[in-house]
Amino acid sequence: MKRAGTTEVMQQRGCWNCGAPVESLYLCNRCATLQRFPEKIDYFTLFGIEPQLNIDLARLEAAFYELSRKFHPDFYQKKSSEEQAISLENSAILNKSYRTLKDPIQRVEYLIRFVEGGSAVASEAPADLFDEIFELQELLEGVKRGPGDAGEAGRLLGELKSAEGRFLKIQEEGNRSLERLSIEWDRLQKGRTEKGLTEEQRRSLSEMKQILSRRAYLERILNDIQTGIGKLEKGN
Amino acid sequence: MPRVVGIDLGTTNSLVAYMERGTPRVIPDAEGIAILPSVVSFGWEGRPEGVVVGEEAKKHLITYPDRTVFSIKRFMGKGMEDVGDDRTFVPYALTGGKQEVVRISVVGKLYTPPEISAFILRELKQRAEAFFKEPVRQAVITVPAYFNDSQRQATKDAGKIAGLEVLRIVNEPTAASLAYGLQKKKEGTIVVYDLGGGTFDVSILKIKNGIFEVLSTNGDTHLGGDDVDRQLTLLMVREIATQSGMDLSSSPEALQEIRLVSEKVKCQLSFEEKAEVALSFPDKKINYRRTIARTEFDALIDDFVEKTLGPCRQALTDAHLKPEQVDEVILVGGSTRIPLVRKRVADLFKKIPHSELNPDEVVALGAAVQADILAGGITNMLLLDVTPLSLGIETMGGGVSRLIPRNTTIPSSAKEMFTTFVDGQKSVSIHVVQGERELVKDCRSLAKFNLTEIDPMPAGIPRIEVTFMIDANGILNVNAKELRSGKAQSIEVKPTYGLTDGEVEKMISESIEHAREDLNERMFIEARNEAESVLRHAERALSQGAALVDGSEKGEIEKSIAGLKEAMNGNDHHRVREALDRLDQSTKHLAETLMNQTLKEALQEKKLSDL
Amino acid sequence: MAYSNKVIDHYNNHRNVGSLDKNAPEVGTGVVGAPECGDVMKLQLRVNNGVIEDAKFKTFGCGSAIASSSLATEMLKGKTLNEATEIKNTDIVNELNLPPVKIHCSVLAEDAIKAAIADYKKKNGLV
Ligand SMILES: Nc1ncnc2c1ncn2[C@@H]1O[C@H](COP(=O)(O)OP(=O)(O)OP(=O)(O)O)[C@@H](O)[C@H]1O
Ligand SMILES: [Mg+2]
Repeated sequence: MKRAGTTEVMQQRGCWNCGAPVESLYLCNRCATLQRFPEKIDYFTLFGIEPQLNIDLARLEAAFYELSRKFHPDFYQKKSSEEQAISLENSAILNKSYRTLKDPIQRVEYLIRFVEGGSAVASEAPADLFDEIFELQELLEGVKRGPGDAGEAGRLLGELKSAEGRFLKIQEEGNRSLERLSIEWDRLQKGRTEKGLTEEQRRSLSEMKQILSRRAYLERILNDIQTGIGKLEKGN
Repeated sequence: MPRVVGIDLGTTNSLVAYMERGTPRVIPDAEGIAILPSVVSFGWEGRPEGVVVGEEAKKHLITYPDRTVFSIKRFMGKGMEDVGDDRTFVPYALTGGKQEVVRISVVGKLYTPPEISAFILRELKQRAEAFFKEPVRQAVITVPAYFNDSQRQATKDAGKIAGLEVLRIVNEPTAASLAYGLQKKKEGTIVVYDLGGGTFDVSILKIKNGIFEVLSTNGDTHLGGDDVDRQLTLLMVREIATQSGMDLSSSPEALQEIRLVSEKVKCQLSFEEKAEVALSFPDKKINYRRTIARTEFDALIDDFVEKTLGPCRQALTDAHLKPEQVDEVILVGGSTRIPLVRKRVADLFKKIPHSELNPDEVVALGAAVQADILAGGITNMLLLDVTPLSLGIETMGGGVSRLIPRNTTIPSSAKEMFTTFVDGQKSVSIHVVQGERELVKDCRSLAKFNLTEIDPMPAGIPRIEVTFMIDANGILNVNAKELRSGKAQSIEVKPTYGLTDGEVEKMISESIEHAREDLNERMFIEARNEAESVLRHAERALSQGAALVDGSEKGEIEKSIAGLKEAMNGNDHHRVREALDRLDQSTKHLAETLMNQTLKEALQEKKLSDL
Repeated sequence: MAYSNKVIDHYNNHRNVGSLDKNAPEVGTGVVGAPECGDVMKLQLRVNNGVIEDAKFKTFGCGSAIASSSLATEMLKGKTLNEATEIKNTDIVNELNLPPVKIHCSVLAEDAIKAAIADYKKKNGLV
């Protein structure tokens, strides 16, 4: 697996301005001009932190502010257009990395892609969810068309509310498992320097992916259910 | 260091400010007034381009409503489709075809909103030039945070047309926070509530170690003091109609007058419990009088104030904050003087909002701070702003695929892969939209372009990479290419409601011509005024002190006077200045002699003990 | 050109929305989803003598998925099961200016067809 801060990220590159080999992430040691991030830069290396799931958010923020001062276009107003372009690109990458690592879910997704290189969701679909989602969507279509009478509206509302509770519970369970798995992952990863994943790590990752692959469906259906509930309650 | 000024281009009022040794200051006009009403009146003979701007133009609002343009900011970056009922509320004529920029028709000419805004900007530019006695070419201009891409682009275009290089477009509430942060040196989470003449913005920021990080922004680009005026106007028109049977809504002059009275009444009710209204139109035999109490006014604007609170709540949610977690609330914009506004804001955020900063000036002051940062003056402050609206492209079926969500820190970029819908499809239409809704029809169209010459492949095989980049101005650049064929794709972006580069270029070249003429003319007028007073003094000195100077000195002075008079008849300010210098030199000795003489006389009249 | 019109037509008016009897032996059902956006799609086929007689779909999600399903079901009708697995049209479409499709939406309909055929074959002991 890839490790933060190793030379792997730092493929050989020359300064765009003076041609000298560039050794740091974003600065030429000889002519002190701003450099593009290496192509393979990962968010953990960028912030100088370990690839972990539980991170110190205050430290992340401090690093973000410090790096913002290095790249922000405000400070390149009078520099060459090439440096201005680099400042814009690096700032955009920095902002995106911060947004990703700050959010616990996006952080998990990113870590999975980082260690495995592939997609962050499991390839098998959560078929068990689909039947229920279909039924509910058909119910919601009834809501959209407008319920026939007050009795029907009440019945629909009841069904939607109970479904909402059910899905919220699944979602909540998923979040809790993800928290537990995050702690576990960090423990398994701690101190490891060799490439490749252990059996336990693989299992941990695959569990995380299972949860992530249900998230979008759950979010979508919850959103639709809540819209439906809102509509019915307003209609009353 | 070249001067960079900060400009608040407001719906009702505009200002220009600069940084003086670490403190932002507004630049006043010759009379010492900093606020420039955002009003442009056309058709004035003897004035450059027939245009007058500001206080003078404001005087023509009632007398020449059809050629005096106000609240132009409401139309920036808009097409006829977006204008809605604003069209009926302004007395000047709006035209424009479908999917075209709005144009204002005055004295037989068509102007786009950026061109009209450019008149205001040019006035401010000249004011700054007169103040610094040197040309000003670069500026930071503020826009409502909730302005979309077309509106920002239009503002940038206006700057260019006015002969300004717009170094940055800054959001008004964030600009205000910069001025606030600089003055108060406070840290923490602050809310800026900015209710101006035409727009409403709310921004939540975290200030820490000189970094101003915007956490979220929301607002309504179509909500402001204008709407309050309109409520009152409609009330009065209604009441006049019931009392006298006269419908004034079709008379632009009358409406304009009622609107101005409404604004006065509104402002009065901010400080007093009631206001008297007296309107009379003798030609229509209308004499309308009534008292409006604060309570009645509050009831009238209740919905209006409520409308600003939704965006505040959304901004809190987006920043993941509760009202208790906000340290301070800052009020910006003239409409925050309304007591009901203050009360509601205090209730929502559970704290008394700050209003000790001058709400009219704080945005311009903040723009000056940002200008100074860009000029390399201030180095320890940095503003990290966000994009107010989500950006995406239309996908097959009329849905929107979001590439950059709202409240993303800018600069920001995003890339996503798309494909074709049918086999052998050779081109794809990329439609860029901005907004929070799921369907294209509910979002704002920004631009459309076609990606052509894709190699024919079965559906789903092409890999179309769409890249978005939002720069620090919040302005978007879009790129698309098909990766499998690897061909560089020709893209022509056609802004839906914007001016093309060509159009802007043309307006700039026209205006630079004018600007150069204008500037020369102004400098000449200034030099001539000065020359007139110097001349009066010199001639008087010569007649008083003729006995004190010899013939050759006298001849030299007379020659200088003649030279100055000749220069004053020309149009070159340089020549006037040169002649002035020469006269100054040649009268130096005479002036000193006269001075000594006067002093001597004065002393002789007084007793020694008086001194 | 006729083909283009057909596409536009599907873009505007979705056809074959609905469902068939899930438990009937001659009906194959495929349910698939796109985990990226949470779209789900159900596609059903009725087969008679190895030929697809009818096809219906139901999609809850973005317009692309709906338009894709509408077009896919229309093209399925009258095809044999083997032909159905490779619906391809080689016409070159020049004039058409269609918006792009999210990649995962474009594969959704294809996945659904495969899943429905697999279901039918399983039900009828053809695998
Ligand atoms: N005392 C007052 N009471 C109520 N409203 C006031 C008062 N003074 C000014 N206003 C209103 O404030 C508005 C002007 O505010 P401001 O100058 O901040 O707006 P602006 O910057 O021109 O507009 P915007 O920021 O929306 O583009 C006008 O609608 C004006 O009537
Ligand atoms: Mg303002």
